Amino acid sequence: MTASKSHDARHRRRTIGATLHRVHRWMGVVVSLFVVFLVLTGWALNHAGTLDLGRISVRTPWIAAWYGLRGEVPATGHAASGRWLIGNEEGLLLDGKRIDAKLGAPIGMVSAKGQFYIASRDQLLILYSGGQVIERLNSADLPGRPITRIGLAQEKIVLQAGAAFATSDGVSWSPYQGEVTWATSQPLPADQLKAAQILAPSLSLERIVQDLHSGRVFGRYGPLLMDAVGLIFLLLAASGLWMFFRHRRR
Amino acid sequence: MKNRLRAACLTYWVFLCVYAQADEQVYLAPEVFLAEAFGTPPPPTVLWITAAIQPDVEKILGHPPSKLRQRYWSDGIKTAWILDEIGKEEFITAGFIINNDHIEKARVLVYRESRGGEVRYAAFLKQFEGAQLSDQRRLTKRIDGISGATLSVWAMDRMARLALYFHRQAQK
Repeated sequence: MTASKSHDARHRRRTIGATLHRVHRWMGVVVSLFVVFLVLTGWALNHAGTLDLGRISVRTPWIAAWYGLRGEVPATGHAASGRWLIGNEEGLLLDGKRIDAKLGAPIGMVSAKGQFYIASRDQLLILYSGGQVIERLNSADLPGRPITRIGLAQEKIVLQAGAAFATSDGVSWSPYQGEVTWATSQPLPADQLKAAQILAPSLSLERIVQDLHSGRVFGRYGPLLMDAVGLIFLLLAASGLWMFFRHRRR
Repeated sequence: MKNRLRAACLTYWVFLCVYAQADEQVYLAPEVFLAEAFGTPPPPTVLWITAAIQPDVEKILGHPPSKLRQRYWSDGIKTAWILDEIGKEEFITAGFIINNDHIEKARVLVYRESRGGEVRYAAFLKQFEGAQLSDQRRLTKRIDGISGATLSVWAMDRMARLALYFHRQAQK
């Protein structure tokens, strides 16, 4: 009777062990792809700075569409001295050439003495005609904010920022009262419209890798999927430890 | 299903955009920084980054300068510099007061990165006080880093060295 009970218990343990072993193997197969995927994206994120992932812009239309980004490309621009400025939050183009400066959406551009003055609501960018940035003026450097208009008056640059202020060098400002030719936006000609396409919304590669790693790229249920994978990792660890110590006891 | 996924992604994107917008932290208005430095600030002057000094600036920054002239304020003895430098992806705006070729005060004015804002704390910024520029264009004081804010610390170090270098050029 006792021998039979002992035999049953051994049989039960063996059956549980075999089942657990099978489950452990299958869980390993199921999560193996995720392990490779998480390790690769994890490595990339760990070295995102070195790999400069944050500065690599991805403009692939289907990725933008997947993220729900609609192609808002500027249809208007600003012209001065025969040069065209196009800009939005993605960047600035002077005659189709990207300017290496962050400004935000421009509200106007004027040209005086071979220099271009580009205003956004809270900054003023001064460029040479070749596109080299002379200076970017922020709040401390401006006579007022927000800038609502930029214009020209007798070779002086005038900003409307509450009151009107004029400068001839972008360094010293004085209140101005008088006639001003204000810059206005104009519809872009065909060649500029084509150039404006590179200002379509983009995502940084780091952002995409982060979203792949966390599962967010798959929408609301992506993180839940990764949670489920994490749970399988935990079960794998638990079953692995159980089997290891069970074998050692023998 | 796909529409719902797209809607979820769009919501997430909008949230991130709003979050990113809200990320710009102004810790000290530039006007307040200048008032701290001078009481009544003197009018600004500009230092042109000419071809002669451009290689040194590039060596300090590790990349070409993003502009051709730098604005500063001076009362004849000390100078104040408001500089922008990218930490990881966004500009960090910092102010430096230089007196007699050493840093009198360093402050973080605007921080735009999502991580690493600890560089704004006084305990970190105090390390810069008294630092000078060596002949190798390095700081004469060792600046201890902050875990998780390495790129911001490096950006602060570059700006400190640049402020000292610019001060030297402005005094010539």
